[in-house]
Amino acid sequence: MPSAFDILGLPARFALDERELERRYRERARALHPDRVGGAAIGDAVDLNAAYRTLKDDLTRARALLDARGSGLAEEGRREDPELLVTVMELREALERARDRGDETAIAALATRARGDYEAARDRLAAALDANDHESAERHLARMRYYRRLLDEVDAIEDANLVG
Amino acid sequence: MALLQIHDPSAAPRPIGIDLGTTNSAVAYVTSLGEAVAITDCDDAALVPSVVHYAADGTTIVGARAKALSLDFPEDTIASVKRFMGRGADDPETRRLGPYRFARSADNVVRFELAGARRVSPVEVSAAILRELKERAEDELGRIGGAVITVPAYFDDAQRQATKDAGRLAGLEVLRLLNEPTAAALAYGLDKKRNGTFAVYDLGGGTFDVTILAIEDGVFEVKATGGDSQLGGDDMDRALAEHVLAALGDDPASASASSKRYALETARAIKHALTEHEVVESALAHAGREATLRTTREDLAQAILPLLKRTGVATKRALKDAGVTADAIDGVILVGGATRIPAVQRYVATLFGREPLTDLDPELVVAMGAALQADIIAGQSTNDALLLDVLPLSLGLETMGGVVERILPRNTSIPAAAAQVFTTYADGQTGFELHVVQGERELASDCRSLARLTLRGIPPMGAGLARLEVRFDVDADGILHVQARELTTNLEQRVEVRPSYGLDEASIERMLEEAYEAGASDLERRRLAEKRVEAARIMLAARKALEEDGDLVDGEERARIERALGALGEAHDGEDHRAIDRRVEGLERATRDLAERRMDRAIRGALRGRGLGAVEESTQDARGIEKAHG
Repeated sequence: MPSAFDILGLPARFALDERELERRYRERARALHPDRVGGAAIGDAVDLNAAYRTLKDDLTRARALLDARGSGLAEEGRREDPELLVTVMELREALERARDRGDETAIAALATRARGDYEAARDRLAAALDANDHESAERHLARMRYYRRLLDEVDAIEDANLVG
Repeated sequence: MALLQIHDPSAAPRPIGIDLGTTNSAVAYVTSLGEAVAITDCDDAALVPSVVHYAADGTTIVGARAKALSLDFPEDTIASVKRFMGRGADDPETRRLGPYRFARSADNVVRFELAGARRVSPVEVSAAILRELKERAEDELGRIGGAVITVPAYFDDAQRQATKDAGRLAGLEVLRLLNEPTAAALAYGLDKKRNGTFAVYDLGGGTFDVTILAIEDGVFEVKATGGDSQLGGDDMDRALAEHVLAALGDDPASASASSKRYALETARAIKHALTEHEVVESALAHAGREATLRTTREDLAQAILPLLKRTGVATKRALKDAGVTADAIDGVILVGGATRIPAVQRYVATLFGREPLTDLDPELVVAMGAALQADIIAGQSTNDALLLDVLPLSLGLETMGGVVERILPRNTSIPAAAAQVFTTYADGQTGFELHVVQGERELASDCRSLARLTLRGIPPMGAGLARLEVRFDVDADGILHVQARELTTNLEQRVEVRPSYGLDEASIERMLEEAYEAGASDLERRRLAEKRVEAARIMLAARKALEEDGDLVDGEERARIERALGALGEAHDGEDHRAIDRRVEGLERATRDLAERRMDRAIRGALRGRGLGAVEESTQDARGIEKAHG
């Protein structure tokens, strides 16, 4: 089965030119979308959309890259980093307290910190992938996933405040 | 007098685009010059009010004529049916939505109970509107091809399915369901040949949609969409109607169906008048009560502010989902009649920090876009625009503990598919029950329930050993198909997700057959039916006048009116619509003086010199608005 990179005709690496990705997606959609193909099987269009979705997001793009390179670690078998777990748990508790207080400044500060940590992990991930160091890459990817979940929670709180 | 058109029978059928709106609907097509044009009726009106009247004699009337009957027959005249699409009879929202009688049903399908013990579902009411639009298109174009029908981007699976069913029921070949904002952008983007990131702010009669999309070289990529499928101009009318009822000393909670309808119609008229004028003074008169009401633009702005704030929340969320800020938007497109209101335009301008685009008619732009898309799909167009749309709401399955496992997140580009593997939680379990839900909440009970399906016949295994793969496929119409497979035994089940409160395939087939048997609409029969309803309305008005203001007529005049009434009654029961026409005229002549005196009594000097029927008709929309100060 062709990889997401193959489907969009992009080099299999983590660094991404978003405009190029969008340009390729549009170009392929022109050929594959059901409106063009006319009632034929929509499988190719579905695969194209899935590949686009995979490459757009850092987490899924990194995963696809590691899978394509046969990084041996199965999803469940990855070791947890105890230090990371403690840090994330502390951050999450701080976030919950800030939410209960309705302290928007504190929420924003925590979000900034989590975003910074996420971006730092992403830079290290990119470097590890370039160096073919899959074990480190997996570790950094796990960090990114934790920070992303935290940022999702911040999003949910901000969403609730929009309505409030 | 319109010129007779001669259709070339060998000409290719023309695809059409239909905007099936909450308040108004429209149909458009693309000319041989590539221009999208809305089809108008003999009065030059492109909008068909989305109102269907079911008369006691079994006939069905759609559009402006039906709307004119809504005041006298509030329960047999269904308006804003779109808000009922895909909803269950037990949905609390259903009861709130109008003065209708609902039939009891075992299958949880909403059915309106009408005069003559007739029952219709929202899908059938929508099909009646679509049939009317189809006939208009056929009158104009001769043979028509397939149709693109628009839906609010925020419509969930059940609502889309219901719309598609209505299209089939109306005898249309539904080429595609297209999201309204995307259609609007298509109409705009192609006209202007612009690239950039656009927002479409669509406040219709009953729904609010906001869509963020990127247009690059003819590809329209929807980045995010959001909205509220239960928010629109109707809610504005309702907010204002409370003022009207209060002015008449009526309690909104206990007001009669006809009072509510009167208040809503008056509120709508005030709202429209405020688009032109700063202040509107209305003389209210209903059920023997009179009052005056002064409404300013500011009053309206205040009344609708809570509704506008809800659109603001949905807009901010869509911007966030699209990963753009309001100042990165290159243009804001307005869609929907409610965006004509100055307070709405002001609010949108503040929201985006720029004046919205208003070059195209906000009430026709969706139908025009749908026509362009129909033309493209039918392969007749030289235009090579491509629309890439997204799933509006996340799709998932309920797992143990009532928690939702998301299979496809919102804003996923469609068509899309995703699969997930589940397992058993009990030893020896031989069946899986799947509950498909749509929505953003964590608990299944807070999401929209789409369907429940069961996979049986799995050989008993220890807990956690069976491997059930559930695959979700969303097609380009945004409609979901679910497939479930037990991997260790390869037992497979393909399930068409038919919402539990929708119509099942068998009832749709049956209704389709009935529609075919009824055959093509016979113009004479239809005209007779329409005239009969008109006659009934005028007779009712005349009797009401005699009853309420009997002291205004002497014996001789009363006898003359009674004779005219009797004559019209006879014609009404006959088969000749021309005879009905003549006798309606007769009754109008007989009641002209009475109408005048009644009007003198009621509104002092307004509308002098016209027959009762004409006055009743012209006051239907305008009633209450006596004068507007610019």
